[in-house]
Amino acid sequence: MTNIPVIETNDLNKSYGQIAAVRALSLSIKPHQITAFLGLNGAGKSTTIRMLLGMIRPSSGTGQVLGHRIDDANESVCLRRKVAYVSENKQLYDYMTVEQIIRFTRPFYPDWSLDRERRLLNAYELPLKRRIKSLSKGMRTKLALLLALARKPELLILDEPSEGLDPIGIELMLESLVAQNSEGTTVFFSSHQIPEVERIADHVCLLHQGSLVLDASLDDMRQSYRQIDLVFPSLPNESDVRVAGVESIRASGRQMSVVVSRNAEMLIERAHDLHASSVEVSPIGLREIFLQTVKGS
Amino acid sequence: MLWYKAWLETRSRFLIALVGSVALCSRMVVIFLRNGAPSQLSQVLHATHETLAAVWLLAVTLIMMGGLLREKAAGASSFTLSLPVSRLRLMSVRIGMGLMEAILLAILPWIAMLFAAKVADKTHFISQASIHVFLLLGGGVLFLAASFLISSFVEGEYTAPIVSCGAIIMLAYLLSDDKLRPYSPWAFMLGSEYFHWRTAQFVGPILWIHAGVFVAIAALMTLVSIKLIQRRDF
Repeated sequence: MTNIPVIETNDLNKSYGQIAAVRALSLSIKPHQITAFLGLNGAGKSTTIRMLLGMIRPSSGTGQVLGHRIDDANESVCLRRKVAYVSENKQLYDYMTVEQIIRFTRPFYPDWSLDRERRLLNAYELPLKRRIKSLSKGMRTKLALLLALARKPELLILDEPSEGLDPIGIELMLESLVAQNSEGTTVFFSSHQIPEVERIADHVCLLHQGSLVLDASLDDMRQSYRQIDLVFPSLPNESDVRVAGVESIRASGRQMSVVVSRNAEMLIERAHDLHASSVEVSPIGLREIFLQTVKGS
Repeated sequence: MLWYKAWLETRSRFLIALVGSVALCSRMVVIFLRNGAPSQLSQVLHATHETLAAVWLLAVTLIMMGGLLREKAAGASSFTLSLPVSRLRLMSVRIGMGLMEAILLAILPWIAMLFAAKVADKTHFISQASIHVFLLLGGGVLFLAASFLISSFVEGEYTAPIVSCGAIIMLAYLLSDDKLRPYSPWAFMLGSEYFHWRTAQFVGPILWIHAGVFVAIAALMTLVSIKLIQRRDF
């Protein structure tokens, strides 16, 4: 199993006039993993994904997907043959029926599986003869997912895949992603839904205001991230507790709440040195990490 | 499969335009012949051709609305651009389909007109019909390319055809002056410069160079459209 990154960007930037949508983004996505791409609205997730697929040209920096340069039009065509993509809005051609768009999409991809197509059609209960125009948002999302998941691509990129799906649809989608991943497909998806990410992701990349502020495996994060609540006789300066690995500090009264990504022991030691009357260490979920990291940066 | 997509995208506009122009032109021929004015079949067909040219122009403007910018407005451009095909190929297929449909929209109504005349026991030289079709397409290709160009930089679902219609009307108006009229693609399409009404025959040499210039400008506009789309962020 090769460990060459499936997605690699170096100092990737995208600006629209004075506004920087993506800043100095250096990503390295390992193969055969499920990587979640998190960030607030407007953080630059969709812009990054569009740059990876050649829809937007980077302002500066370089990037490769499956070894193909993203800023080369010819190489971009080759990479798109190996990548399945579900866009943020899931809009397809209104003038086609479900059957027509499947018939249209199928021949572009040598990795299309008729068997998968049949299974997904049954699971998603899509009406073949219905025009896309008259499908509900959920149905349209399912159809967009079908067009990506009926293949066995090397890389699956999904931009907010669960948006518009009901809980059953989300469940089916997550199962499909895990099944694809178990067959060797690398999954890279952006999401706002932390519970989904916690359920299926191996790795998390967090983008904030166009910059990568967190890049870690979910297991490592679970093991190393801690919330440490401290009570002092008199509140020390924040700089006194700011050891390496402190992500955020919140102080109120005599209490201080610190989130650390590493060096929890060092901070506890420091707290004792500062005569902390109470030290409580608790594990922290991805939601808190997300919020603290975004607020902290 | 891109041809399949281009066909599905334009077929309703194309078929409506085709049925409409065939019905309108053949009906006009029948009515003109029944009334006996104009008196000669060539005059009848030429008069109908002028109507056909206007319908053709409108139809082509509507057929050429589409492409990546319209898909962007409707939200489907992400799907199109994720397909493993170059933007050049996407655009080539679109212009190819537009051109084919434009040719059919010029030829089929003419066949219907000749057929309507034949039913009324009137025969007409095919060569005269061919010249009309050639003129229609020779001048019309410029408008086709202009619509293509406008749809490559004007965003919005229905903005491009509206702007195209405005541009066509403005161009026709600007070139309606007697001195400029020989350079007008619209006048070329109508063929009025060459058609002698009294003899009901085409007279004088057709200005091939004009047709060549129109085609060259159309090719240039197509090239600019392709470059614009290739450089654009979606």
